[in-house]
Amino acid sequence: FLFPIKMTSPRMIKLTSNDDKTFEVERDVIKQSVTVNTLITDLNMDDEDVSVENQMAIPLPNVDAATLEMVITWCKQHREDPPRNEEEEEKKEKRTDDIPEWDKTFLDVEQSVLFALILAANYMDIKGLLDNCCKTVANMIKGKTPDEIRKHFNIKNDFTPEEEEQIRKENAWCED
Amino acid sequence: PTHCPMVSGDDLDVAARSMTLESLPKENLYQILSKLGLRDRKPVRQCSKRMKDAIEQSDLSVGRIELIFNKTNRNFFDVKLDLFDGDDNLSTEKIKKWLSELGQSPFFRRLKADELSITCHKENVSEKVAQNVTALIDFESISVRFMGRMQPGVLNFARLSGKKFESLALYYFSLDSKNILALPSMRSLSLYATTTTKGFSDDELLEIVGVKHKRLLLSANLSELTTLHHLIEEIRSSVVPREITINVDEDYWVRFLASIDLREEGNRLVDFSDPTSHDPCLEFDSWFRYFLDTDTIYLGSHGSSGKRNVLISNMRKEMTGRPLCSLSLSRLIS
Repeated sequence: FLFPIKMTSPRMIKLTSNDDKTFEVERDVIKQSVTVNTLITDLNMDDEDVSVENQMAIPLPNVDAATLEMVITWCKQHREDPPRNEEEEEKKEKRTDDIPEWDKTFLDVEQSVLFALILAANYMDIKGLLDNCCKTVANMIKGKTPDEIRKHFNIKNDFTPEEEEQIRKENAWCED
Repeated sequence: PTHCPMVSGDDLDVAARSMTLESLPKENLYQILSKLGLRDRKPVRQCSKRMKDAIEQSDLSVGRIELIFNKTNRNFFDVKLDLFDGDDNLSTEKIKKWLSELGQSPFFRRLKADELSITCHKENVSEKVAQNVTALIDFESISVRFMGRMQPGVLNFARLSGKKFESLALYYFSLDSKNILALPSMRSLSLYATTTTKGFSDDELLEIVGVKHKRLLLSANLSELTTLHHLIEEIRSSVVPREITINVDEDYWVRFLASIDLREEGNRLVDFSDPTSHDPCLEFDSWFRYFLDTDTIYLGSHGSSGKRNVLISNMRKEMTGRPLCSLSLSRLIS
């Protein structure tokens, strides 16, 4: 005889991107987003005995579907991470050489995608993701000359020759 | 409802996928730039007006700032600021002018550091300069390294700045213990004296041990063997720092251990004149008993000797199971 075994399925949350795509994500995964977490708590969504089909979706008007998918992937990867100690993180903030290998590969994307992730992480308040994205961009800047930075980030030089000279003088103040 | 009504983001909608570094909101741009040291901020400032403004409005946060009062060239690194002179007479006016430049520097809105380290090669730092330095930079702890005789006023870096200090380290100094005793209680006090300077008298050292600091580091070539005995007695009878570091000559340890009257402790007396032929475990046991109320003991030793391995071996054996958080024997290990 086979007896039915009651399985406890993980609680799911619906998120909708600004281009109207809905994602179902485990409650435990999305808790890393302070914004979403606060909404779930404020709306008592944890208490409701509602199936995911009937559940309201949380709209994320600042995040497109492709970016939201990446954010969810990152959150899944980091679901087991211990809670961040902000004091410790602030001290580590100055370092940019401590990005985990998985994140390095994950964030090896086009600049526009990386910036979209920064905006999404900022909006959804996912500090770990935001921090690693910012470090990745900082690493792109490090060691480059002004011309190289302009080229890399497609920045237009809008200084007049006089302004450029002035900045060069100011920069010389702290020459090595 | 199929949609939660709490978030209305119509006005926040952005074409995120067409973002460039320059078009990021200021807040995010600052977050990125705050991860750059001074050296890397310079070229960014030259890129465009937008990037220049962002650099100037973001904080520069570094782990350690080192101020060196010396006659070397003026350098300005990420974590090291050499206060320049150019000739042998480093005047207060010159330093004040330089610090004024630093305060109005276009490279950052605010300079923050975990630690400010100050090295003075001469008697050239006045209390006023100390105030100027500490007023301009946000930092959590300070270490002061003096290469020569120190003016009493220099120690006022700690007091006059009005900052709350986590730690203070003094190197190569010569001063009386009153200055040390006048310092506010802090998490860590490290005192390094050498044979090149006068260092402390035994009485001064004893007085300092009584200061209420959670961590106390003493590095000194003690003049009398009895000093260490007294130190330990003092530690036993008064304040017990959470961490104690005492660096002395290795032979001194051996002589010290040999000199303890272990019979009082109910242990056998061992002749340490040839420590390789004895097992000094019991003696270590007695000695460490003095420190059992501290969390951490650091034992430092200088020089090299065949006795070292015996000491380490016995310490390891003896310390097993001790209620200490940590034991550092780094300087003992060759």
